[in-house]
Amino acid sequence: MSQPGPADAGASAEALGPWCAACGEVGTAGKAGHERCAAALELDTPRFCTRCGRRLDVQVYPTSVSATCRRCDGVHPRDRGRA
Amino acid sequence: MPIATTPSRDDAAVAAYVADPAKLLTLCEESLIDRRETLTADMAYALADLDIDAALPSEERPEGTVLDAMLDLAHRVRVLWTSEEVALESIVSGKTGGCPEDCTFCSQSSAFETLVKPQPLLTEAEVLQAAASAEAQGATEFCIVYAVRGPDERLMENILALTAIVHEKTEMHVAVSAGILTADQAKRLKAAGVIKYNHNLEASRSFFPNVASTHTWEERWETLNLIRDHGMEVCTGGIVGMGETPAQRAELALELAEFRPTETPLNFLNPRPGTPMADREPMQPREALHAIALFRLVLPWTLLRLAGGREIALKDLQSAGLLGGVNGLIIGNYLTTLGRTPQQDVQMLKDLDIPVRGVQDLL
Repeated sequence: MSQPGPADAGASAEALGPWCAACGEVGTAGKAGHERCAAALELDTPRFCTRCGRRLDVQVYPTSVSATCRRCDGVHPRDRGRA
Repeated sequence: MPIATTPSRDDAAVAAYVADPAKLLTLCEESLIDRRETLTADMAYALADLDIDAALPSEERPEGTVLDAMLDLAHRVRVLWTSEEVALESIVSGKTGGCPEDCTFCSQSSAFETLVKPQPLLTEAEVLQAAASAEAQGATEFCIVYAVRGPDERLMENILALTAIVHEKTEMHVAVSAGILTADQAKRLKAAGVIKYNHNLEASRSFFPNVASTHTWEERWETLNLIRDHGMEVCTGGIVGMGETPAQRAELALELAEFRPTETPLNFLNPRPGTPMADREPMQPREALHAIALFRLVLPWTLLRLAGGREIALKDLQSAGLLGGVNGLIIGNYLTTLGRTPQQDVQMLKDLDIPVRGVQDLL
């Protein structure tokens, strides 16, 4: 079971790798070409792994979000969304 | 209950009402406040057609508009017909994505290329933890929602087990939303302790062909019949902002009213990437408030709950909704998207001095 504790939603927009967590393209949410992605992440979960670009397994709970990448084997600590 | 026919409309009567909003609102007040009677269909259609930005000064508001007057009346109606209290509910997606239906607003449909990746059924432990966290934030109701056409036997067993464990481990009322039911399934859900079943009409009958093709509006209606016939509370509402006309918004409210639902969730379209409605512009806040007041005035008895998309549509006017007819909120996150934090909503209720049902001292 994976229900992460509190995390900073803003942190999910930060890059851990070359991929944007919102759209899955190369880039970083909030940076050049991905300005709208940062806004999207205010009320949406990360959808792509910032390390490898794969779609994440996302489960939304009332007060938390689990976002995991099968390839990178585990929850991305900065991709958990708002608690 | 037979399938509803589209509520009849006398165009001349509606036009006369629309031409004199002050008189219309006075007539609405006399009906809803003085006589405690529901509105006629023509009054509902006229309320939907009003120019909400037109000036309608009053002693209290010399600069007031039609929308101000509608919201004020809707608030007084909700306090008179329901209570001062607001009820908080949390929801969780028990099975995410992979839905065979093609609802054009929904990111969980397998008919569209969306960002939502299908997920397996939640375990008992996951649901229980979600319920416990919601209860700690002030929710007194907890709804488990499944992205399915209707439950198969495996899913029925899952629902029955989860209902039992949430009942056992929390004080919350359990509601379920799992699509189209059979009579036997409705009977089993009731026996298992499901107090309320959610099945939204989603849209008016005349607009529904724009919403889904894999099932009909009439099938949704029949499931609502089963819910009520088997003694569960009916929770049914819809989504506004999908491109329907104001008249179709009134039509939906009137159709919902035929069921006298215990609860009416009011969702606002949150255009999801990959769905056919992805490029629709979200509703503007004042238009969303108009819809809230309309639904309250047509459904004066119901628990009118602000639901998905309220952050997108109402933006910073959440509190205006609570003073314009709303008496329920979904708090926390939604099925696949994030909401405001429960703390934000609880603080807002405290600031407005609105009591929360079944909960004291949340802050």
